[in-house]
Amino acid sequence: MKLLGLLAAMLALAGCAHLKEGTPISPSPVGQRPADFGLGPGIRPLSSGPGDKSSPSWSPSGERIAFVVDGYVVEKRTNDSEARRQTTRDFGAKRVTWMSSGRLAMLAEDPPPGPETTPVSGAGPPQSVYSTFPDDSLGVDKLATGVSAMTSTTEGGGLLVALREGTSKSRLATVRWNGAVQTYGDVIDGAVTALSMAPDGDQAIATVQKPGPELNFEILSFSFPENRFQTLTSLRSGLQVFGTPQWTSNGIYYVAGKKPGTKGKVSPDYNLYRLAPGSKRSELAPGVGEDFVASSLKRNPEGDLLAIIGRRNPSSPVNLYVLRPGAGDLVAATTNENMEIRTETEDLAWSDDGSRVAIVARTMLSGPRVYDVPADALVSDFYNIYEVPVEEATGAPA
Amino acid sequence: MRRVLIWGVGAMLAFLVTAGAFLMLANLSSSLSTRGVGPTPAQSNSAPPLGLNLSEASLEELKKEADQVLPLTVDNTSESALSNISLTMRVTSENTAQLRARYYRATIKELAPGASKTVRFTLDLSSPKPSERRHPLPPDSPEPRSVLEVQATTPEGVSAIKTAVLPF
Repeated sequence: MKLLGLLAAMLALAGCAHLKEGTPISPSPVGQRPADFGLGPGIRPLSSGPGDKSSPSWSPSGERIAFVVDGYVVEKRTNDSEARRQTTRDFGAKRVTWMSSGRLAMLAEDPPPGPETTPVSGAGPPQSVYSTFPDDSLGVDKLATGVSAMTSTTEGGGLLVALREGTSKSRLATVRWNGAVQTYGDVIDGAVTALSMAPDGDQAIATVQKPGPELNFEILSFSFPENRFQTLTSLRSGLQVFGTPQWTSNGIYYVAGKKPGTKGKVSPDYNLYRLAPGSKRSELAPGVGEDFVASSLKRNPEGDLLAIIGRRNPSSPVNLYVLRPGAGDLVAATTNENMEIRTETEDLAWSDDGSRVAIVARTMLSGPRVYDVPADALVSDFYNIYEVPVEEATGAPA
Repeated sequence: MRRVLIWGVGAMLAFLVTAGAFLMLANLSSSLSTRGVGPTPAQSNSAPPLGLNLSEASLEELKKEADQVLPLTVDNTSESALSNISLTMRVTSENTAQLRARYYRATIKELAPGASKTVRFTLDLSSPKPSERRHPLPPDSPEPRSVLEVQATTPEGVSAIKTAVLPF
């Protein structure tokens, strides 16, 4: 019996020996690399190689991300390096957003207008909204034309768009993936330059540039249940709204100021403002400090946090911050060492679960750099998409 | 009854001995294969037979203009001569919408062991013409960077690559 026991023990040891020698699996170059790319620990690239990337958009599940590369649209799993092109290379996409799983909506500039076409003041070049086919055919459906702004609606997988009416008016409409368009409210006097939704999905915010020689901006709210607009605030003449105002649980936040290059201005002069619920007077946003220079902002899906690209003061580096409106907690989510972080609103995207923010950045370069790898393997030298975990910032005590 | 018991114990012993031997063999072979994957330390430290050198001083002198001369030094670090080394320099832009892939080629007929040779490429680094772009650049878009990618290959399959990123 002793011999039997000895043999059984040998057998068990032989069977378990291999489990002790675990072989580590190398992470993939993009998507899982734990290295510091100049934005702080834990921040990983989701793309690589040359190409001007912009407008990241997370899929509803958070497992995929779509973005624009030099005018065409790609999407990929966040843990893969392989990206699938969704449009032809000459598509001219400016923005992409997820309508529903498997379908992407894209805003793209229309072909150059004929000489007799009258440009619309303030609204930029004419654009159309398209959706991808559910297969990989690179085909697209045109959903709406004459679009000056677009945002995805909170429910139903559709889009809210601003359509041009003549040369100086606009109208809001929802667009479904099957092409169904429904217009809302009255005609708006002016060009809608930005749209966003309230967290509850019942209201939207429209930024309107009024017609005329002076620079005049208004911020309107639109109530879907009441089907009517309300003017939230009119900005002082000469001031411009930058990016897209955001509706939070503690009021509406927006960035406004004078554009650099306007008379007497050589550097950006932006401020972050808050419109308290029910108020028509904007105030400097509390909680960020007097010297804070905000460039763009995006609320989280719940509306209780704001991701802000900005500087603590004019001489400090640009970073991604998370603000809990009302509580005054401004937490840096990146520690930028030597990176240019893109400052457009559309280059900032929350994942649906609110745990991650995608940003676009590249390293600052004052001279040439030489590498022993192909250009496609380089990350920080070109504008690439980075995933910033913000759980630590969002978990800060209120 | 006793005979049946002896037979049973014997069969069990035979099974355990055989299974144990197979498990040990399996472990031995899998641990050997794990060790066999990847280069040995000696291999990973050995230099590749072809070395490409782009001097940063020369790169810093480049301008965003035509007729820019860039020297590339190729080293044969192996112990045998290399022949017909094909060099391809590809100049592109960070913005891939710009159809600015300009190719430059050169060949080194023979490179003795331990020898180096410098090849001078005359590059056109000027801005792409409107006809070379897929889309006009947005008015506020930052200056795209230039990418110089040089690859050296021999008929024997020896290859090396070097990439330089320029701020313009």
